[in-house]
Amino acid sequence: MSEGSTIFDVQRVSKVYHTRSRHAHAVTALNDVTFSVGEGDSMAIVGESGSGKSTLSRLLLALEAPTSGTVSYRGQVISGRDERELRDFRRRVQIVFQDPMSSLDPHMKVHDLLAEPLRALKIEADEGERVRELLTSVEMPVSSANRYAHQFSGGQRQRIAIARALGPSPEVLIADEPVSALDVSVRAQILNLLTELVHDFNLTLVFISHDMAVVRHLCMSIVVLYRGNLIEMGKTEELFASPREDYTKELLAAAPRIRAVRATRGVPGREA
Amino acid sequence: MPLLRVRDLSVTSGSLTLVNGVNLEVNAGERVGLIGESGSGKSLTALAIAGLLGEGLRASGEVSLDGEDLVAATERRRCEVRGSRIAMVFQEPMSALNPTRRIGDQVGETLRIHQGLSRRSAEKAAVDLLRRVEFADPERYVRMYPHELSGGQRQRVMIASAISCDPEVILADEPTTALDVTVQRRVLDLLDRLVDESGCALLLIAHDLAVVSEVCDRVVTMYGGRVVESGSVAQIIDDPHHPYTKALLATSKALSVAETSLGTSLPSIPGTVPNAGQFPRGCPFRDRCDRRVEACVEVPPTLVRDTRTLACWNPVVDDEPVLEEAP
Amino acid sequence: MGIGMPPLDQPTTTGDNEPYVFEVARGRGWRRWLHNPSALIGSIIVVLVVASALVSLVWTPYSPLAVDPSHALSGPSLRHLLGTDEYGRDVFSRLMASSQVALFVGVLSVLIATAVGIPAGLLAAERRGATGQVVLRLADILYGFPALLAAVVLAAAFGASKSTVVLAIGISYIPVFVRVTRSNALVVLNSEYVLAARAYGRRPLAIMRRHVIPNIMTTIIAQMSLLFSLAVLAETALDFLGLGTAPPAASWGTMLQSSQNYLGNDPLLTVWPSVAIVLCVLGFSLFGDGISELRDVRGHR
Repeated sequence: MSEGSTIFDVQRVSKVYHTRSRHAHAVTALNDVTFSVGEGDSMAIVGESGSGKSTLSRLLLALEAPTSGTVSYRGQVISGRDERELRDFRRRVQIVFQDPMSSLDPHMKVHDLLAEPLRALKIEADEGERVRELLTSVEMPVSSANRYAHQFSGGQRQRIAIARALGPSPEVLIADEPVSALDVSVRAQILNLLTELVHDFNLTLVFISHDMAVVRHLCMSIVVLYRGNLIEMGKTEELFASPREDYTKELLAAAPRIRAVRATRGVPGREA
Repeated sequence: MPLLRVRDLSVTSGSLTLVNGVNLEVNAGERVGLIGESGSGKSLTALAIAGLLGEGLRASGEVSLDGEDLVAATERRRCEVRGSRIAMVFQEPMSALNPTRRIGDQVGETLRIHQGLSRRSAEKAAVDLLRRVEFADPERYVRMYPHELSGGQRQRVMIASAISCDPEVILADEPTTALDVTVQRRVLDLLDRLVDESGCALLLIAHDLAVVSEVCDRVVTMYGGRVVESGSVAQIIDDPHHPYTKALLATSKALSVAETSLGTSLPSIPGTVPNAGQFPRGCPFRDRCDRRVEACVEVPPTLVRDTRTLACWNPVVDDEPVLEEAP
Repeated sequence: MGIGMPPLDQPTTTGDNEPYVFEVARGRGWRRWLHNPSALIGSIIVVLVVASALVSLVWTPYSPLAVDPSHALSGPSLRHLLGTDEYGRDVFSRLMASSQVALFVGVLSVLIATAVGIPAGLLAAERRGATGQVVLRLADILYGFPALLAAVVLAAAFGASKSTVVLAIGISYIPVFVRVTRSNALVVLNSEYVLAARAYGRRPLAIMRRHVIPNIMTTIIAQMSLLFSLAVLAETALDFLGLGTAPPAASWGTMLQSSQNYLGNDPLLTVWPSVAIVLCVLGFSLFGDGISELRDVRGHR
């Protein structure tokens, strides 16, 4: 699947959360998941709520450690490491979240939002100059730096969040449902921007989503998660042409399609 | 006479006009989709129809249900209509449900208010309603609290509560936007079936043209607080006349599962939807439009032909004659 | 898709390279302050209280302790603006001197409560395991120990004074700050922007300083102004009961206490300290609310 060396290697990873819920004492978020992401790949992790995809993103970011199994980055195990040993990793792997309102600190101006990663990672740069560069690369006016995130629309906030992720010049971008909170036309703008940035900055992309259309547009390969299990993986077009698992087929069938005549439907339902 | 008739509906906040002269008709048994981006005024239109505008917002014009004007009616009368004859389903079922009360209690509440049912019979009715919205084990679910349900289940609970008094009109504001794809499919199918069974009218507000095209008979496009185009789904999908509808359609098509492919550039509308009050004078879409002409500085009149309406000075037409002016 | 106004928005222009100046618009903040009537009234009162406390350190019309039996219980006059008390002491001078006591007790007790309560609350939020639980249980134990009782115990041990009042009130407010800080900090710590900060390598202390504290300050300040007012009230009550400032030193509480014997002859003697207490409490509450509103960047569009 990969052209160059392996970026992420996820080996037999499970993650169990202990809860105080009256229904269950432990929730298995991920169960024995194995896959790898190669350099230059654009890999989609597809699944719905409860599939474990957000847990997986935290494991890939070494913000949490798996209950069992290992997550490696360029051959080095990253889970459970001391932050000091992860400094280089932190610079190279960045994330964009779904909701750009809650992922941007409401008390910081855009300048600080974009400068923070540089300060935290002790990257030597002319802050003002770098912030201008970043804003320009996401097609935002440089005057945005003086304003707060809440003064922008959803699409513009997501551009700011993307600019922040690009700040440390990462080689991997993890995007956790970055367009699912956006309107169709803004979604198209952000997807176009992501496509350009991935190309221009030679990024390896890990794209987490439940939207098969967006995934097909952006990713070369797909991993399908269902209730914590990796049920299917493969190249995007192969998987679209001949999905093996029922759940993958359902995901594909469920996506709404534009049609001029209302169709009589009846896709086999399933307990929501 | 249409069941729900909206004539020249405007919503203002101080000196700002947020919804401007909206005309809309929905017949019994008909499914009408209202599309447009965030900030186009479609949600406000729905809230104005339901008489649920927040503080500082004022509706004017006419919203008549079966001939009775609701804008002019007293708040007391609107309360009687709301819930019993017009029901609403919102985007966020979690915030629309009270977290401290059991499901059965909340589903039965509308019946207790509007039909004076006792607590006990309301709860029995709730069980039947949950069964109608496809809960396999409704007796168990009426005892649960909202947080114990999944997003899709909560939205079905909202729908159950909406249909409890057999409303004549269901207003659904982005009911599936917050849901996963497979769950969205299920909720859409459910809404569709319920409209079939009860013969009520559905006004479905969505930004996703694909969702609207699958469920609805007619489409109404809004931009900048105005209706810019309306017509049957087939007319709008096959042959959109307004540049905004056409651009939305092109984007939605390029982003649908069947059409998209890796790495291509997606068509999108340049710029962003302006703030309320910052739309250009005349046609609200003109500064983002690639077909603007000099006439666009004036508000285009709404032209009507058969089942279509259009408000554009330079419409997208192949060789068809332009629509006639409204009488 | 909000019901209210859509977010502020400006058309995106590509490649816009105009230089920008990075600065904080202070002037706008002041103008907002002046346009907020409760904040304005609050700050005027606070300035008055602070000014009278400072001025009384060096000057009062008469010495607050100067006894003049020949003019005892004389009503308001040009010589004695607010009249004199049973020993002929000038009431206005005593009111001024009393504001020192109120400020001293209010400021120091809030300082004690925040200096211990806020760090403990942050610690409890950051360490949700055993450490956090221990902090919370300690706070609960303190909470069960009322300020009045603490004051009695301290007064019995060290003698009644302003300092014992400050300690008693300050300590009894620690648990309030632990709770408020912890619950607000938890919300921030669970936010995606903190997750993002961790993903670019911010350590827990830096996250506290850069994200948590700025975002909980609004609530904390509101709480501080509330507790300041409560502290002034508590101080008055303790003085009234003879557990704080010892006569003949002036404080609003002792003034109230001694005036009650002359309620029939000279009711104004009771009115003046009462008015001072109410104004002071009201002023600091309004002032705190004003700061909270001003800091809430999202509140203003």
